Amino acid sequence: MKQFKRLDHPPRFAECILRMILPDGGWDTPLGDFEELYKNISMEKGYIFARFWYWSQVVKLIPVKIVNSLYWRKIMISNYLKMALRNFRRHKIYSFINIMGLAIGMACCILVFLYVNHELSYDKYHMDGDRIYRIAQNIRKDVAELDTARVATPLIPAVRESILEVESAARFQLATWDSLVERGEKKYYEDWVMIAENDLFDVFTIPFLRGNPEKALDRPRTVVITERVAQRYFGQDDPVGQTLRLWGNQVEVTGVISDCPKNTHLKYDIIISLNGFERIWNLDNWGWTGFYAYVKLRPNVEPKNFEDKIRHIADIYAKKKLEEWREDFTFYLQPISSIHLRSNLVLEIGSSGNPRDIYIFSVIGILILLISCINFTNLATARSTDRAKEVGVRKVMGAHRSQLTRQFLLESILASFVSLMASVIIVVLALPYFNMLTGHSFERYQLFNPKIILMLLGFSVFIGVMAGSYPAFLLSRFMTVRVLKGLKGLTSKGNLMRKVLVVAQFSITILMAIGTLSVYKQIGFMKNKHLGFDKHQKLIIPTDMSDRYESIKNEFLNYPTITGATACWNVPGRLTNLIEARLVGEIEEKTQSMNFYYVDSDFIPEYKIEIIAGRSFQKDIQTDIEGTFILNKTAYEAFGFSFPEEAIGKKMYEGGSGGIGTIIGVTEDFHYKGLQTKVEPLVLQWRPDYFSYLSLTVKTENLSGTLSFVRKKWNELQLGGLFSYFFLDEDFNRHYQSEESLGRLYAALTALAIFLSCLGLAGLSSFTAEQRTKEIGIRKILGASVPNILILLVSEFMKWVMVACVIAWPAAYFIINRWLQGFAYRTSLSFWLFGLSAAFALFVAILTVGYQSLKAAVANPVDSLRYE
Amino acid sequence: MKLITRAEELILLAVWKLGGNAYCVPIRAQISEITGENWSLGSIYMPLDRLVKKGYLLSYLSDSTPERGGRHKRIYKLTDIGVKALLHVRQVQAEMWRDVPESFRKA
Repeated sequence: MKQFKRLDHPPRFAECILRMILPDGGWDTPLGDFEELYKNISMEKGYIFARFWYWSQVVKLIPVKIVNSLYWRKIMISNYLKMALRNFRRHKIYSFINIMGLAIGMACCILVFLYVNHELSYDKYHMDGDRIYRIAQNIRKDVAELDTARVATPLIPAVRESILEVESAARFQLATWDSLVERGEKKYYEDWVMIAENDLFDVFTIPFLRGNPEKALDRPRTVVITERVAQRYFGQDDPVGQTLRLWGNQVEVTGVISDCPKNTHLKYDIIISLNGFERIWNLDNWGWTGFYAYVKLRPNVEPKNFEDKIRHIADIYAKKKLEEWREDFTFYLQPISSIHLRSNLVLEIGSSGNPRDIYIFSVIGILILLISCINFTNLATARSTDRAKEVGVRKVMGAHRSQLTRQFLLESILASFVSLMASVIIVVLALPYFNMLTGHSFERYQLFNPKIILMLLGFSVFIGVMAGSYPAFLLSRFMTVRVLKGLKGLTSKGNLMRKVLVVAQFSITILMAIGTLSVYKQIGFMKNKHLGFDKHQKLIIPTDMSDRYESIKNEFLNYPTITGATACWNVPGRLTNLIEARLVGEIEEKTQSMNFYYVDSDFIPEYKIEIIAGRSFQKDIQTDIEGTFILNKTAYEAFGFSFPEEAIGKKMYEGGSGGIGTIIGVTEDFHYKGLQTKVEPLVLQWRPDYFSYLSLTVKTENLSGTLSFVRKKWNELQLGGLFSYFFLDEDFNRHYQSEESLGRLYAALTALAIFLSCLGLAGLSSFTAEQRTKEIGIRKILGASVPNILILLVSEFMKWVMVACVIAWPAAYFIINRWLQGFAYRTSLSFWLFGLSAAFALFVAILTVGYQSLKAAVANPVDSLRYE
Repeated sequence: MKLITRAEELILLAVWKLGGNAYCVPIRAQISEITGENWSLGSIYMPLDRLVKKGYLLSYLSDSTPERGGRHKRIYKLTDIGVKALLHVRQVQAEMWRDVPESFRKA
């Protein structure tokens, strides 16, 4: 029965469509007719036929309907367009503010999109990228734990040999020392020299322009160079088969590859064959986390299964050694595309991205867009009185409400399209500055790919609808009679909405201002905090000194403005050597991973590092060389001593060269890394054979004279390679580069937000002043002074900016607190920043509103009262 | 007076014949039956609308009935000018046919 009933009724969906097609209000009878007829047919020829008939009727109607409506719409649309253009032309300044505001917001959004898109595109270009993983290593020793991006050297051969799920596996090392590349007269330091095997080209997508990827790195002393490097040394010549000098050795070029893309965490300028390095490196040492390891899994291999197999692979190959070291190695996988943003391990290649920054940027981009949309909406509603008459007349002439909504929406979409064009121009013009701010290098052509264009178009329609829907809704609602009779009380609703929007706008602005100030405060804090060593006036020169270092130092010390000279393996702020260390002869031999610095005997006094126990290295005690250690405070604490004095005289083993020595001193902690991270255990050792930097303490006067002397001396002493130098404080501050560029970007975006908010406020206040012209005139006649009127007009806006402050403060407090948590050493959150930004917002708002109000206030009341 | 079209003429006649029950479904049924062609509802609506606009027909909503899913019928009634229009078209036709030879008429 039920079945019958269902079939008795025409198909519901078809009926629904039919109802939509038929004109409003007129569908009742025809639907009845159709249903009756459906039943007749169903009775005669069966319900299947009847259903078919019903559907065919509906389908036949659709094209007729579309053509019909398009025809009428075309006429109406052309009329809407005409009205929109007339309106644009009549209110030039208003339209300009409107469109430019929106365009700036959009441009901002596009730039942010470019940036975010770039950050998200890291390592997505590799073929079969979803099957490529990096292997990372977790080293656990007692309680200490360390995650490194580089893994034990023999891991990859072990994986290749024993695990079938792997299609190819690559390992490489990046030269952490300076790489001087020479060819005849051309000498340059190259940044990234990679030491690798042919498998590298199987795992990663590295296109070869010349040479054979399968054999390029077969022989020792063969290199593959990027196009840029090839251009640098060989110009237009074919580099394949030719030679270069790298690290003083002759190497043969066997291939040319495309330049390292910007959106990869890998870095390479020159790739040299690993073959031959086994003579100087012990590649079978499981204790040396020397290589980056990547695998490409076979298709359909579950990464989890593979990960299970390698997790404890070290136990199979080096169980004895691990027990001896009492270490526990765990290997795990990281999808290659997630490395840039999600991974931040020890020994990461270059600097990794920060998902938090991306998040913040996206939010700011959207907020700025929101501000400009609010401007748009606000100005449109403010102007609604202007358009009210038009609406009234249209309604009298029989316009539907839906038609009016459509008209205003169309107008705002049109405006947003125009803004889009303008924004593209702005983006193209602003791109160089944007690159300067972010340190990226975006190109114009990146804008003009179909994906972005499509997105932009969709985007502008969306914004048009978003920004225009409120005015459209508001304007179309006007009562015809009321509109045509007079405009009293017409915009009270709009007023409230406008106030809410202004509050929202200023909340965002104040929030951003507080954020920017806090970022700068933190940067200033990090730059000015005493690091525990003296980073000032240190001129650092990469030098190959070997055993001559004492005499070299003295040569430089002769010059009057050079007050100190010392040598070291690496300078604070740069890489350390991570080596295991263990106390010898103790009941509990605690093994730790520690950072090692190899320094000269006078390094500690020269850098003004405070000794809290024991003594520093003594120049005249020859056994201090190699045989002694100085720990920092964190290191002795890591060994479990409770007083620094306890550590003195203890024997310690270090895993780098396998030597045992005595601890002779403990220093106060100093920040040899950026202030983002906590100070880690550090061991100082006097090892002249490692020295590669000469550090000179110079006076600030006659710096150029000093420099030219140093250069001359350096050439005279033939210290090898190319002369280069840097100042330690500048070098150290590079740690804060990402924060600084963040700060600059925030500042720029905040300035923009303030500008946009003011633009909106200016438009709004001029309309308010205009609306109240009569009131002002009457007030003036009754004796109000110009300041009275100014206060009257300005105070209204001030109220709302104040409310905005109250909303923005807690939000800012919460967000900035979270941001600061990311720093091990951070500045306090100071409340004067909150006050300052609020005061600034108020000041700017008063300035904007004040100008408009002043114009209204000083106007002659006679004119204003005559204004209708 | 402007001439009505053939479809309009057919519909007016159908409405007249159906008397108080002249709404879309029976009108279509009757015209389809007599002409032997399958008229769609749409082809009835259009002239019906036009005729109402011209004033040849009046329409009103009748009660709803269950077989129509509870929807109203729109009943049409001939107006005086509607009748006149019908008579007019018939007269014109007769005039036109008058001198046509008998032999032709039979063929």
